Amino acid sequence: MNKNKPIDNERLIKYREGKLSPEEAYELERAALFSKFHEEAMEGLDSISAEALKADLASITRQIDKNKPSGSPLWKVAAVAALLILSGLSIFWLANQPANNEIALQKKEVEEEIISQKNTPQVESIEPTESGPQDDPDESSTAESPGAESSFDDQALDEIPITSDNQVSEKNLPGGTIIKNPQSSIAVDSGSSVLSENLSMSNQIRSFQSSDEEVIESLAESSYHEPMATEENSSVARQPEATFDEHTRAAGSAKNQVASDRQGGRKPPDNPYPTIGWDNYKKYLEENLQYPQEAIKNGISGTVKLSFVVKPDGTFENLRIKKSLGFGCDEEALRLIKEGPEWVGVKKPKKVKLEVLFE
Amino acid sequence: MLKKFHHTDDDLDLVKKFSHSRDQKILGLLFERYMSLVYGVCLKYLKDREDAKDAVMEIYESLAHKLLNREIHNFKSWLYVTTKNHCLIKLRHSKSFKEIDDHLMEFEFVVHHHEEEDDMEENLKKLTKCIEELNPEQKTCINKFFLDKKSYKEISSLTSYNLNQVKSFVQNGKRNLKNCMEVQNE
Repeated sequence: MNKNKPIDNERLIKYREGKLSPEEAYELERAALFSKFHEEAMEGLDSISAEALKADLASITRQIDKNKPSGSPLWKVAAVAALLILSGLSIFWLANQPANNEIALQKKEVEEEIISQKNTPQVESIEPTESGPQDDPDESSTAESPGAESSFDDQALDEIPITSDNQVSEKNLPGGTIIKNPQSSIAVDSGSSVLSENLSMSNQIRSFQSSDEEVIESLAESSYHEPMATEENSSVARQPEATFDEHTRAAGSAKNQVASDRQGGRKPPDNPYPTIGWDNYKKYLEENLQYPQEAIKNGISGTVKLSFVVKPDGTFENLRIKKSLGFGCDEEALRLIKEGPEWVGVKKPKKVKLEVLFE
Repeated sequence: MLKKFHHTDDDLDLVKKFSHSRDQKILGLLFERYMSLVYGVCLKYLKDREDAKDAVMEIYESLAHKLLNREIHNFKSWLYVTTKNHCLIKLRHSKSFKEIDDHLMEFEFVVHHHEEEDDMEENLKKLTKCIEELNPEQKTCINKFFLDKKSYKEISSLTSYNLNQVKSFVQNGKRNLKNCMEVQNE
């Protein structure tokens, strides 16, 4: 009912002023009764006076009319976004001695731990993973170091001044800047439009905490450079000389962290990861997710949490829903995983937990 | 003062046109259809006019990117969810995480499932029965609203209830009806 009927601002204002005919008023009231969107909107609009409403709507309209988003042609925005997606934002963590920061990829000698703030709006994947860096340059998984200094949340992100560290960033970022700080280890991207986008998206993913999974050790002494194909902004933190106990556990629920643990060593990974890498996997989920009709109809959003066990041969079993959302979302999440890319197996079968976000 | 909406295109046509042409005007047109609703929802959650106005602009500005990056089946529902999410994110920045998480949970599950392919006649019977079970105020208002198609204001002048009472009788009555129907369907 009234499915796509546009809501004329003037009508709304007149309604508030009591100037609508009974039929028109009825139509509006009925629409509000049958749509969560209308209902909540009316609730909000009723909290201010008709005059205030009139003024506010006019001012928003003016802004929209003159304000092309980000003030730049859309294709530019899209181009930047595409660039960011393709080349990824490189994130660093500078070690204690900035002198060490050759950006060169000396991955072989480096063991590192990355915490990155991912902004894939739909998905979050989250197991600590170890893998050989050469295998999979894009891979990332979650982890957070126990040290408070290397964790951050959205608020922190918000407050971080954006500085540019030429020393580092020039080589890597298409328009990205990086904040480095050995203790606080947060990197934030550049373009403010992108940033705001990031901030707005970052919260849509709640982090998922790994249970008593493997401890990831981070032994790195030297710094590294990590090109990551993230959708937009990512931040990385590394804890130089700590053992990462329960690092994922520290993740607050409003954050999402994705970290990748790359090891220079040649031993097989301890944790399974998608053959195409975490980032690509996320991209896969994001791009292939089909929002179920039922969920749309009912205004459902949220996350489906699921888990499965990856076997040494890369196949998985025991795929099950941990947190259901219903309305077809569970089935869709299962479908995505089932039809999704393969996994790199590990020595022993290992559980992987994933979250699929229906935004 | 405000744009007129003489465009006959439906939302999805506009979305399609926009993704082909990337024409900002189309996006503006599309967004303005729901701008007041978006603003209303923002007001509801953020409870501050300035914050809500900012939020509306932020949502608008993020629209292009989002529209180009995913397939939308129902723009209005999608916009609603996007708006709500945006507000919750903003709230998270200002309030404790937990509080908002709870909030979020609350409304993820509040939405009721609605069987669609029910037998019409069956439903009507149940509905009549359910209306009878409403309290007198709700019953009066529900009947006047849904059967006589009277606006809240008219109902208010036809009865002794004031506008807010009418509104809540209709809203609560409708909710009770829904619950009653669901119980009957089980």
